[in-house]
Amino acid sequence: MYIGPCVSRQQFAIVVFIFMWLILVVKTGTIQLSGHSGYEARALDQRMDPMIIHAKRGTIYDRNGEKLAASRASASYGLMPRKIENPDKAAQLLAQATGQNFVELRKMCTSDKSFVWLARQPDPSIIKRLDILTLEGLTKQFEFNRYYPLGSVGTQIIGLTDIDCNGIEGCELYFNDDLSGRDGRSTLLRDGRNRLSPSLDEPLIEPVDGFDIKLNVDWRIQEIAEEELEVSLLDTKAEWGGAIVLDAGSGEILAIANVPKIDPNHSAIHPKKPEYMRNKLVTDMVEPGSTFKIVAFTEALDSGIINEDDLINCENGNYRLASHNINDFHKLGVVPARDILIQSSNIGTVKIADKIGKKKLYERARLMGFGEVTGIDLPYETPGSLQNPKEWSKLSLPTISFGQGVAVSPLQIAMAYGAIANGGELLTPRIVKEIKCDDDRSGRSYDTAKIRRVMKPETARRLTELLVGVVEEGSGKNAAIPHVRIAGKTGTAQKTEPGKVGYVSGEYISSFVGFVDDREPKIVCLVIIDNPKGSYYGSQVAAPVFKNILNRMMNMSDNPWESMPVKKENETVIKTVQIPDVTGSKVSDAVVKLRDLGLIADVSGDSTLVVNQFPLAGACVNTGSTVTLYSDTSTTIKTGRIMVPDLVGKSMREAIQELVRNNLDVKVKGSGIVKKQNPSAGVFVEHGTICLIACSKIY
Amino acid sequence: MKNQSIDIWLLTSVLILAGIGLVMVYSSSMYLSMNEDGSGSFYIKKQAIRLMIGLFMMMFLTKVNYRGYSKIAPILLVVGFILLVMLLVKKHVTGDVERWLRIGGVGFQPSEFMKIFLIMYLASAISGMGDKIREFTKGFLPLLAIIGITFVLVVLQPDLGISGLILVTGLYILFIGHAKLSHILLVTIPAVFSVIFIVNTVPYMKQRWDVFMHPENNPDAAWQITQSVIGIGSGGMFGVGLGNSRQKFLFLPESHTDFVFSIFAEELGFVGTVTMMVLLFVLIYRGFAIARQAPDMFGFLLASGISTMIGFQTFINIGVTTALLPTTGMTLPFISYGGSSLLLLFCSIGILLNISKQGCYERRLSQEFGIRLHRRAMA
Repeated sequence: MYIGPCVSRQQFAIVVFIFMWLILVVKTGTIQLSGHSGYEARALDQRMDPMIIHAKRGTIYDRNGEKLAASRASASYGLMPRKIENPDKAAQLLAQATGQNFVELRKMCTSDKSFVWLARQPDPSIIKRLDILTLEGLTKQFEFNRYYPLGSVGTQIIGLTDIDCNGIEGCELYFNDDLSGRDGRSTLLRDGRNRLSPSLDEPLIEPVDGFDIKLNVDWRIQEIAEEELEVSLLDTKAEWGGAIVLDAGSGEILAIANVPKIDPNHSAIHPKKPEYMRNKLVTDMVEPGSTFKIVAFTEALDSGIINEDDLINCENGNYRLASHNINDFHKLGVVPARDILIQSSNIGTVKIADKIGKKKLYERARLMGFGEVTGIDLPYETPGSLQNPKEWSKLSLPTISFGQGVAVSPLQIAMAYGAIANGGELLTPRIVKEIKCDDDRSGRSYDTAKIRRVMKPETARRLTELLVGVVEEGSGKNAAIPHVRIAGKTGTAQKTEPGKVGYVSGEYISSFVGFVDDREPKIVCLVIIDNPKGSYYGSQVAAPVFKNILNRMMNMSDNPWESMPVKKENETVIKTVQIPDVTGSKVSDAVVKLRDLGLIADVSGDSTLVVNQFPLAGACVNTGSTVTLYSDTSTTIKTGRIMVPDLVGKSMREAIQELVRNNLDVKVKGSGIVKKQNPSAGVFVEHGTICLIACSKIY
Repeated sequence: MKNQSIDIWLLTSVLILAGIGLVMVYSSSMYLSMNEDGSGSFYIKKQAIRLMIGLFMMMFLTKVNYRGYSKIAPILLVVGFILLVMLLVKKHVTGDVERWLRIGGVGFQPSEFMKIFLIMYLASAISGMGDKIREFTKGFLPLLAIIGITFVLVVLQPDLGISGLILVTGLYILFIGHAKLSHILLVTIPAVFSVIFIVNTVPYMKQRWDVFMHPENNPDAAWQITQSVIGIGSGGMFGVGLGNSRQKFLFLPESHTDFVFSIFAEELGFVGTVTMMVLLFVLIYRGFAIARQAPDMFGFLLASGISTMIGFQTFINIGVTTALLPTTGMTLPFISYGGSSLLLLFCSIGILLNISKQGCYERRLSQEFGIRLHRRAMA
């Protein structure tokens, strides 16, 4: 046998191997080069388990350091479906523990995701049941959740977060970036048997907690404003009421109250949540009515076209202009210009506006901040609607002069009156005092920000005199507070419906805006009541609310004026009165009856009849004291026994207030948030029973 | 026989591959070993000892004249058959499907030994029968029968991987040994059909085939091959770095044995895999070159057979880990963890080196004395 043919066959074999090697190189190259990124992602996905370390969201405080919004760690539960071996059994166990639908849970257990939420921040009872459940694939995580210690007080300012702690309303939204902080990250390593171990190579990124925010708002004033609005709403059956309290000298907002309101801690399912959470005083525009007359008066006095004593014919209350009737409530003849503002004459204002002209009136309105946002640090602010004079019709000048055919936000009105109060400077309203944090990162504080001078100081002083006249002798008499010099102006506007031309017949917006002239700081207060039933004039509806708010503010200990009291009358107005029996009467009647006696009514509940009162009839108290009226049958029963309210989760302060209001005695252990109470909620007890509440600062 | 030189290219590539193998076994088995043994070095210690034994065997066999294998080849074949039958008996008696046999406390895989025994026997028989190989009944058929019996015995273990390797290597030796092409085709066609038949009748093989064709329908069964490809793919061009494999954390089963290529590709990337394939090709190519320089027909066929076996084994292993071929148990020569396989490979290399030494020696003789010994006719 010769070896030659064998060698050529062997060489053929080598060629076959070369060919096979080429196949291998092409195949590996395909996987390693063109498929690289996809395979790498899969390898990392199964190996790395990223873990987010949540940053603590900053706290929101009021100006006195009271917590308005805070974060606390809460337990949430998730499922890792890949780890669940028996989905049917797991779903059954979970259904028992959480009360969720079995079919849904089964779907979650068989999902191909690596993680799904089971229950986020559930009730304590569910937490208890889930904690004792031993189920592979069920994980407990701590997240921060947001709570609002004062409940519904100032909720539209503070706002809300969603379940992921992202602000969705109010300051929570506007300052979300400051409050949020930065979440940290860490990585866990997973092996093929689903065991986790901490990663040594991956850097751990420490979370950075959010900044705290201190508001200018004083929660006590906020609460006063909200309570007074609530009373007024009960009285007038109005749809909505709003109040702004601010310091004209600095632009600091002390309160922005919107009523009705809801408790943000339990708001998730409230049907009217979006509407009730809206800060309408900032976001919505309304026709201002007579409060807008100051624009024409400012221009007239500032430019010297008219002086207070110039006589103007007010046509005895009926004036026909361009086939349109203009009427006055108070019919005036030929009067000095001063009386036009004091008696709020539309006809007189129209005549003054006619002398001013379109362009000047428009420019003055713009100068005073109408038609542009005030720059308040709250979301969704409206600039209002002030058309350019080129687009005005024949009737625009006269109607705009008395506040029709122009739309403004109530905040713009308040700021314009603030400018009059402080001597002519338009300021930026400031909701936030400072943004700060515990460590050495620099926060920032907000100082008084002047926008521009909008009138001469002299004009501001003369206008103030006129506005004082309004309260002392004109349409604003109901806002008068004895021994305090109040300047102000009423407004009554017909309601427009969004998206429709013309006015809704029989529906009005009543307002009053004024300020304390003889004390520092010059506090401006605006009250607006939307669609009151019955009497609808600003003088009758809004002015009393203004008076009550300021009255109560002055009675507050540590009130804004306390540092600089200007007037101290020797003659004391406090006297002792006997409380009448108002049970069984209508709430609105009872409120009026108590007010006439110089008492303040605090209405608890929302039905129309007073079923109980505290203190009881016959008690002697000082004027200015508060009488609580119970109109809600559910909290009190007819035997006179009192149902113990649910206090767990409330602040100690709230709980004590609530118990005292219910005529119960209280014994407190600890401080902070109420954790336990005895007797428990819902039990009926005698008056004066001692309720023990145990509080703790750990949320 | 003094001052003979051995094939440096072959030896160098083998030593580099063995070094890579040791490192890769350590990297790929560390986490597994920590989980099983707690120490992390359980597998690497065993592999290092085997490597030492393998190197010793290689050096020893380099000194042993390969011509002796021609004489003892029939005996070794019979021993191999006996071992395989013992394995089948053990399986029948104990119901154990292990491919291991324990004699005197040492466990080994008879099928690994059978590979080299069969190559020796075929080389010996063909070189002994001369041109009779081209006769069907007297030359081709008896050799085919031997290959067939070996194949069946290994298939019954059951081990389709090594039996397939034995069948292909056997037929290749017949081809290189100048058997008639018509005869080879005559058996190749029924062989292909019988393989298809076996794959379709034996349940575990059928399942592997289904997984290979439709991995998406069998995510659990395809886990290993899916993880293997993820590992190879995530290596990219330069790899995740030596020791940094993610797949070795129990994602890839058999990461230190049959699927060590995947970990290697992941850690060292495309650059690494091409380098390794070049080294393995150099090894095979030098084997064939040694065959051509061999002093006789037996040496030629023996060296060719060994190279062929290593070549196919490499192709099947890498083909399986890259999902080119259906999954079957096959080690990657010199890299994978495994005793019998590594030992037999080093023995084979020892044999190749001895052939190279004698080939060179006789060529030098021919150069010095002008005698044409090269590619002479053999009796």
